[in-house]
Amino acid sequence: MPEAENIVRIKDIHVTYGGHHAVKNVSLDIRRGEVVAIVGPSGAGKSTLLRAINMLEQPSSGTLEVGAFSFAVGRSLAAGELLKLRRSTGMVFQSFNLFPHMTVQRNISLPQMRVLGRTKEQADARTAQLLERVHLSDKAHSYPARLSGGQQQRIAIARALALDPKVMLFDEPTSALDPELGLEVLAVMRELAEEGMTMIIVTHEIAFAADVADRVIVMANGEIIEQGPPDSVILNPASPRTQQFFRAVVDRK
Amino acid sequence: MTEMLINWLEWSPQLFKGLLVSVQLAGLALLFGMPIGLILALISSSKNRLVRHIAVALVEIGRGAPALVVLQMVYYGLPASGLTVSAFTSGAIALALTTGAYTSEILRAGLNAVPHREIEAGWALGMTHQDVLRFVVIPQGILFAVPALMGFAIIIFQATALTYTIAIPELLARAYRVGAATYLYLDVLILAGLFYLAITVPFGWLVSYTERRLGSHLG
Amino acid sequence: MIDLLVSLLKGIPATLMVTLGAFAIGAAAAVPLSLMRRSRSHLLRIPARIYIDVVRGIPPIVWLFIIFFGLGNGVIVLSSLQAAILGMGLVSTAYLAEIYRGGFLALSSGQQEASMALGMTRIDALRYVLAPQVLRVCLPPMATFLVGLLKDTTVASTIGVRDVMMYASQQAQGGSGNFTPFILAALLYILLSIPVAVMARVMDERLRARGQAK
Repeated sequence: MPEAENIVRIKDIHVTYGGHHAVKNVSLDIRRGEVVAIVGPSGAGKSTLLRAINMLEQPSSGTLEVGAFSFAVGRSLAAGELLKLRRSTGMVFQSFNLFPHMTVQRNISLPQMRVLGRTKEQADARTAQLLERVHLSDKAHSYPARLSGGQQQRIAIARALALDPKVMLFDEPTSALDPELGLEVLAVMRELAEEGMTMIIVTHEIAFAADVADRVIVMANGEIIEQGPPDSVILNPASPRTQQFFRAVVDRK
Repeated sequence: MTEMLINWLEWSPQLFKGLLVSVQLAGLALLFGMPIGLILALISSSKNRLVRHIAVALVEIGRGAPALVVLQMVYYGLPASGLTVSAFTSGAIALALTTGAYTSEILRAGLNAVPHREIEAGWALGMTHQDVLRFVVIPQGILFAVPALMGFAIIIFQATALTYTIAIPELLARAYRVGAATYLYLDVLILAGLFYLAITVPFGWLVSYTERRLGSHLG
Repeated sequence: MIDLLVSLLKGIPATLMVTLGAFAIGAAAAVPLSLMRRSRSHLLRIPARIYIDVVRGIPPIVWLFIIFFGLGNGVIVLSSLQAAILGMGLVSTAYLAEIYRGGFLALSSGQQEASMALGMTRIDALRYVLAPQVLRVCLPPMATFLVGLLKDTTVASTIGVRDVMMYASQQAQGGSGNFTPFILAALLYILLSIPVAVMARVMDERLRARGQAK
């Protein structure tokens, strides 16, 4: 049986800044095609952990393996290594972070041209495919400011996908969207999961996590306090801290 | 009154030639000064401490020294160092240096106004920092800086009047020459003032218009 | 070099007189001017607007020439120093009026409304509520303006005022003509501007703290 291949292996990661120990000794293996949701109270270190995976946060120690590459991330990486790491990961941010002075098409095509060396024709062709996939083909020549939040976030997803990453990282993708617009984004993410993309999602959307994730990880105080299939973790949490968290989510009265 | 108007008609062609010189000087100062400003602005955000301090020092000195001092320094200093250039060139060099120092602060503010989260997005996409600067930060930074740069253009145009002191035949110099010949200083200087207004007032309207248009585009 | 410095220092009194004299005139005259600018009456607002735009649209050196060579020659007799202070004062009035106007605009309209709701007259509202707050907002740009004014007074040398710039020029023309007199002059101007910049920073922090304490 082919080993369930681990696309991402995180070992003993610590992240501290300004005296605050945000991520404490986290280790995590993620299989190809697995969808992992990271949930937990604010300040638990979820986003910090996610951002450590593509080195937007600098860990103080640990190792990171993405695909075939291994990085000792306790010190700052050489420029070449950093680029290699970021080319294998795609990130979607809470505030979308599209480039406002470029059209949607250029937002998606330019990184392909500069990072992967594709020609304009190749890049634009891939862009068209992806816009099709997120159902926004008619917006190719619009500027981001003219689009709704949900549309902008879907473009941001397309932009990250255009570089063919091995794993997609989502940092609270729907937190800045009102519920209706959030739905369109979650739909795209669900399709992505069904197509077999490896995804790590930091989110507050517990229902979505329960529905789409293969594994739910609960973090609090910088540590993983529980993880497992959604049914067992959400409906039948083992640790009292997890019970406390989900009770707060469920009993919103 | 009508005499003055008749005189004005007579003096206008000369003054107009002077105006052209003023505009040329201002144009050259901006043309060469703004790229200097952009380079200084980029260097002042460099990670290298030494390089950054040098850039900041140059900018502070350039902004702290009065324009007239810089003008006379270039005009009297260059020949003494063996380099002979025309008065016009001295004036253009001096004004370009002043422009570089002032616009570097304007551009630095523009570059800093680009939201950091866009820079992060660029990094996350695997773009090199040079590419992030080239495609994301600098284009927007310059766009943000345009209204203030245009405002500065008006200031540097007015500063060309200072080159009167280094014998450049610009607008004020010609007006003064007419005044010295006719003793009708007041009349000719008022005419010169009108010539200056003919440039600064419409340009000021253009600046306000541009501010409004850019505000909506980037909002 | 020391001789050079000493002769430059002789220009400081004139530089300071022109700067502070012009600033005093400007700060005072800009008050009625900016009130006129804000007035609802066309009769007041339009001349104010014209004055501000015309004065700011013409280089200060041209104004000095107009006053000294134009008026000071026949109509009134003015010394270089008087013409310089008057001319830079006229120019400062226009710029400071715009700064005051900016200060008024930055104020939330709620303040005016609140004072009117309390039944205060427009004059009282101005005096007790608006003006103090406007002053606080205006002080930093006024300090910046003062530093700029200090540098701009170098034009006074063109009509014969014996300021630092004039002495530097003399030294350069008289001697071998090189960079040194001007580098020293520039340093002097920079040094003179430091107290203002420091005072501005202190005032800014002091006022900011007071504002928050309320």
